[in-house]
Formats: sequence, structure tokens, C-alpha cells
Amino acid sequence: MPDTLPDHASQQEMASIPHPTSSAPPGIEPADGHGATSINWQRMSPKFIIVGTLRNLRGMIVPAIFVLLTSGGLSGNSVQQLIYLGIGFVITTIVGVFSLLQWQFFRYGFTDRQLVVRSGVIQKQERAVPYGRIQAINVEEAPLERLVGIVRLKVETAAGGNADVRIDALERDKAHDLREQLAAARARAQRQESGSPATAEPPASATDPTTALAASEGEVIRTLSTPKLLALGATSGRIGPAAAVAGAILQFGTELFPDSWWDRVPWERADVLTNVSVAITLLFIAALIAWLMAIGSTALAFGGFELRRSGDQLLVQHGLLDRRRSTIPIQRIQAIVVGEQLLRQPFHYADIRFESAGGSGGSEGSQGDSGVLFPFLPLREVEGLLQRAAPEFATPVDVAMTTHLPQRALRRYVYSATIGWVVFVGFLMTVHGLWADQWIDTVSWRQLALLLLAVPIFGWLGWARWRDGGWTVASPLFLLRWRGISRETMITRTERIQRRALMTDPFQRRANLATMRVSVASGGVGGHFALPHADASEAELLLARLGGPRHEIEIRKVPLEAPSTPTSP
Amino acid sequence: MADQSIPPSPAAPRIIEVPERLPEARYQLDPRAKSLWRVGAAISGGITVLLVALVTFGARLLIENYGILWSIGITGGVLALVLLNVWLSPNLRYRYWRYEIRADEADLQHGWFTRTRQLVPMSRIQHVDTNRGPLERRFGLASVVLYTAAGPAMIPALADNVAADVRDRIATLANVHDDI
Repeated sequence: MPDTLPDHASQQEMASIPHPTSSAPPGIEPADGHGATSINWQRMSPKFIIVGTLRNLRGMIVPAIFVLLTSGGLSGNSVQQLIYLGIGFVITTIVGVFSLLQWQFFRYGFTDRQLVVRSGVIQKQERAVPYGRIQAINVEEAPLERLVGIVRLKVETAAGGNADVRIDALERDKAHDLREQLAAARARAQRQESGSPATAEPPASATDPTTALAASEGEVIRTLSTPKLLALGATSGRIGPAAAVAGAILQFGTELFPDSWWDRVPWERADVLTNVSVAITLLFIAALIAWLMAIGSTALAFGGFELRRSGDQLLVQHGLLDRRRSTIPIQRIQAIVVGEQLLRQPFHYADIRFESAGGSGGSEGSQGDSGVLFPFLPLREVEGLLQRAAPEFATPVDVAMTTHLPQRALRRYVYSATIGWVVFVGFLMTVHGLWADQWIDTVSWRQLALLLLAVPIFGWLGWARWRDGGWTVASPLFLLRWRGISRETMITRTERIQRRALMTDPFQRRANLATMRVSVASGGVGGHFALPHADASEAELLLARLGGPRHEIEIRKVPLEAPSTPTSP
Repeated sequence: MADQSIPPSPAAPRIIEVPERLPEARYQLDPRAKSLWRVGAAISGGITVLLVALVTFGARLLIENYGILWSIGITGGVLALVLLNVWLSPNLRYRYWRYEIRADEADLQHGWFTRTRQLVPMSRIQHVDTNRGPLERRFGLASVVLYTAAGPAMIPALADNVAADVRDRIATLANVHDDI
């Protein structure tokens, strides 16, 4: 059976864009749901059943051995052994039938525009990948497959990961044949869309992005000097965890000191230990230790920070003991986030982070990533650095956003910032009052209420969040600003936005507020940004604006000849 | 082989003005979605009630002085919630679902308590999945999942042929030669 891409009879024209309703739209045959094209479905190699069974069984080997050993099956009498053998046989059969069904229900085929794969026994799935979206076509050979002489074909898109299309069992030459056909179809689709012979790959992949740059390639954009490094450590948020460690050390440190030291302490004046001033001194010492630890760990992690550029790649290196290096293809950067930590903001110092996505480029895409581009620099120099490192994102950051949060959102921001603390204190007081007061008698649970004095601090945080929130649309750039603890400004290009959304709960609807969400591609967990309680009308305007100019497209399907690549027998 | 196999590019897209506000999405899900969801809610709700009944009545064996009123009360409460869910939420869910596949983007609006409106640009859709579980197959429905580089977006409960049309439409409109 020839497995070339299909031939079409000419199809009906669709003038404007008809839209699906629950009845069949005009011009589309409802029969197999693939338009007037009939797909030439093909199956995987039947050897899949063998491989699939083996693979599933392999997963069962460890539990099986466990069961055998614990129930003494190996040393039992022959009847017992027969029973175990029988069980094993039944299980193998079940697994085999399962693999058979999987093979039975797996089919793939080609339409004029996409590769379609149908799979699933109970939960059926049909995955359609437009040819032009294919980023990589890989032929993989796992040892188990190699045993029976088949290979696996994997078709990757930018969606990556689990969303790839996999055909798990193909004869080797058929797989290579398919690969060529898909590559040709992709090239054709790209030519067709751009109307001219496309450059085969975007220029960024001329250098294989997975080649790590040599440590001294390219030109240095910026380095972190030692005084700056110390300042970075002194103002970092690592104080938090460091304080916890310091506190723990002090608390349990009593166990570490030898007894002779204890005897030296003037215990007659031991009542001084319950004195509040001593407690405060101890706290102060703990804080100092924590601070020094924060500086130290920052120096270890970020010492010798260097940002370089070589062609269209960036190289970031840092670390005193453990030198970390990462290579970032500039074309793959999706967003830049400029952060102003609390302690640094008054001095107008910021850090720059990036989100990048996996890319096409040769047969192996580079992995997406998110990380630090530069950890400590004056806010006004951010634009300059971006112009050298990521010029597509260069824009002044030390400016106010054009669209702000409305007045009526302030209440919500302050409320949500303080309520967490109030609940926490309440929880502490309850726990202390009910259970813990036999251990901790330096403070009573009532005195814990004094912690509520910190509420204005949280109130201030809520106000600062409200004041800092906003966005600016300066086509082609989009800037979004918010504050968690530190103030962050995200810079991205409107075309990089993968998804934008507006969410409202009933309370927000009543106040004409909405939460704005924007997502960009990212290899890491990041890439999703949100700004709560924006003005709903402004947010809807933003939704429209981020979409750019609107198009009307006439779809006309025309006959497409199949490429007549000779097929392998 | 010469390039006569390549059809002429589609008519150049005509640019219309940027609207102040996006129009609402026009299309609803298939009406059979309500039945589908009802059946699904009934099945999972039934299992939940059974489990709760097992636990609450079974606990009477383990804990003394465990009045039967507790068991009845809790099970009854859960049953009431399940019934409410089966009756009410499919209607609400259906009422607030809207979608539209425009030339530039897919517009998905859903939710009755928390309302969400998602826009996914055509040029960012990488591929499209059409999923049908056993229940959905019985009702002749399918759900369509749009994959972007930042994760998926789903339209549940479309008729089979409509789902296929949505998928083909996206393939046609997707502007291909883009970096992500």
C-alpha cells in the first residue's frame, strides 16, 4: 500500500470563514470528520506487540521477584511452582492482549496539511500536527526495539514534552522514509505560507544551540565586581533561610558545648536568661550570623559572575566553588523579568532574569530554561545591558507603567496582604493557648497578640503591591509590572505571548475588576504571569490590543499534488 | 518534481481595524454536553456516596458510641450535594461556555463562578488533540485541546464533526513560518 501523501479532488470553496455549529457546516463531509480528504491510515509494525509486552513485563519483574522470594516460591514443591508458572503465564497473556489492543487502535495518516495520529483503547485520542509546526523529526532506537529491528519515530513541536507525536514501532527504512516525507511536507508548508522559498531554518540555528560556548568565547557584556558581590549578598533574601539555620544552631547549640563550658557560666545569675534584654541580644547575634551566612552563600553562588555574548548566543557563568555555565540562544528568549528586591530598591539596584524556550535547530532542540541574566546592576543600566544581550527586549525599565490599578483595587490588595498574617497569628495563639503553654513560658499566648503589631507592615506591602501594579503596551513590546515582595517588571514581545486570559470571580465582577494573565513559553516552571484586580475595561482593551491587527482570511482549498517519492516495498 | 504541486498562497489576508474591544465568542458547545456531564457527575458522585457510606457506617464498627444519626447525616449530606451537582452544574457549565476560532486567535470563555476568557493566537498553536473517552463516544462528542508552547487549552464536548472541523480550521489558519 503506497504511503505517499494524499491526492485530492478539488474541494469546495469556503468564502468567508464558516463556523462550526452543532450541525455539519457546509462543505464538510461529516463522514470521517477530516473534510473531503480521506486519510490513508496506516499501522505500526506488529512487532510493537512483542516490544510492548516485554516492556510492560519488565516493569513487573521487580515486584514479581519480591513476591517469589517472600512466599518461598522458588523452593516450594512442584505444584506450587506450577501455580506460579501458571500465574506468570496468565499475566503475560493479559499484558500481551493489552499491547495487542494498543497496536490495534494505533493508526497514523496524512492530510494535506497535517499529520494525524489516532491512539487509545478506552480513552481515544487523535493528535493532529500541521506540517509547518514540526520542529524536529527524530528516529530513536532503544535497545529493546533494536532487538526486533524496529525504531521509534518522534515528531516534536514547540509544545514539547508530552505533547510530542510518537510512533513507537516502525521498520527502520519505513521510518526514514516517513521522516523524509515529513521534512518535505514541512518545507512545502513553509514555502506556501511565506510565499517564497523559505530559509530552511531560522538563522539562530545556524549555530547548533546545544554546543556549549567555550568559557572565553565572545565579548564580555558585564561582570560582577567583588564589592558589588558583597553588596548583593548583604541585601539578598537569603537572610530568611539563613536566619532559620542560625536560629536552629543557637537553639541546639547548647547540646554541642562541652559541660566544662557550662560550669563556667555564672548560673546564680541564671534568672537573667529570662530577661527580655538577653533574649533580644541573642536574637541580634542570630541575625548577624544569618546575615554573614547570606553574604557567604551568595558569594559562593554568584562569585565571578560573567555575562558574555558570542554571535547570537549568550553565555552566563557564575560560582566560586561550583562553576555554573549556561548557554542561551538569544532568539529563544521569550521574556525578560527585571526584579527589584526590597532591600535594593531604595538604592535602585535590580536583577535581570530570563525565560527561554526550547527551539528547533538541527536534530536536537535546546532545552528551554529560566535563569539569571545578571544579578545586580543599577536600574538605569538595565536598558543598556539588554541592548547588548537581548536587543529585542531593550527598553527603559525605570519608568512608570502607563496603565495602573484602579483605586477600588487598593482595598483588596491590602486585605489579602494582611489577612494571611492575621490568620497566622491567630493560629499561633490558638495552638499556644491550647497546647504549647506548658513548654513555652517566656511569653503567654496573649502576648503573641503583640505580633499583630506587624499588621501595618503587611498593610504597607499591600499598598505597595497596588501602587506598583500595571502594564504598558509599546508595540511590539509589552511590559507587565507587579510586586510579590520585590517589584518585578516583565518585558516581552506581543508575538511571544502564547496565551492571554482574563479571570473574574463574582466579587471582582461586581466591582468591575479582573485578573490579567499572560503566558510565554518557558522551559522552566515559569512563563506565567498574572496581575490581579485590574480594571476590567482596561483589561479587555489590553486583551484586544495584544492580539495585534485583526485579519480576515479567505480560505480556498485547491488541489494539491502529492510528492511522488518512491516508496519502499 | 517541479513546484507546480505548490498551490498559490491563500488570498492575502485583509486587515481590518483593531476593535476597541473584542466581540464575545459566538459559539456554544454541543447541547449533548449537558447529558454527558450529568452522566459523568452521576457516576463519580455515586461512587463518592458509596465510599462515604462505607466509611461512615463502617466506622460504627470501630468507634463506640457512634450514633447512627451521624452516619445517616453525613451520607445524606454528601448525597444531597451530589444530587445538586448532577442537576445544577452541567446546566451552569454549559450556559457559560463559549468559543470561537477566529482568523487570528482562538477565543475560549467559560466558568460560572470564576469566569475565564482565554485567547490563544493561531500562530502559537503547535498542534491539536481530539480526545474521546468512552462516555464521550457514547454521546458522539469529543474534546479539543489546543497546545501551545506554554501549555494546553481545552474546548470540551464538541460534536465529532465539529471537533474535526475546528482542528482542520486551525491547521489552515495557523501561520506557519514563525519562531515561537
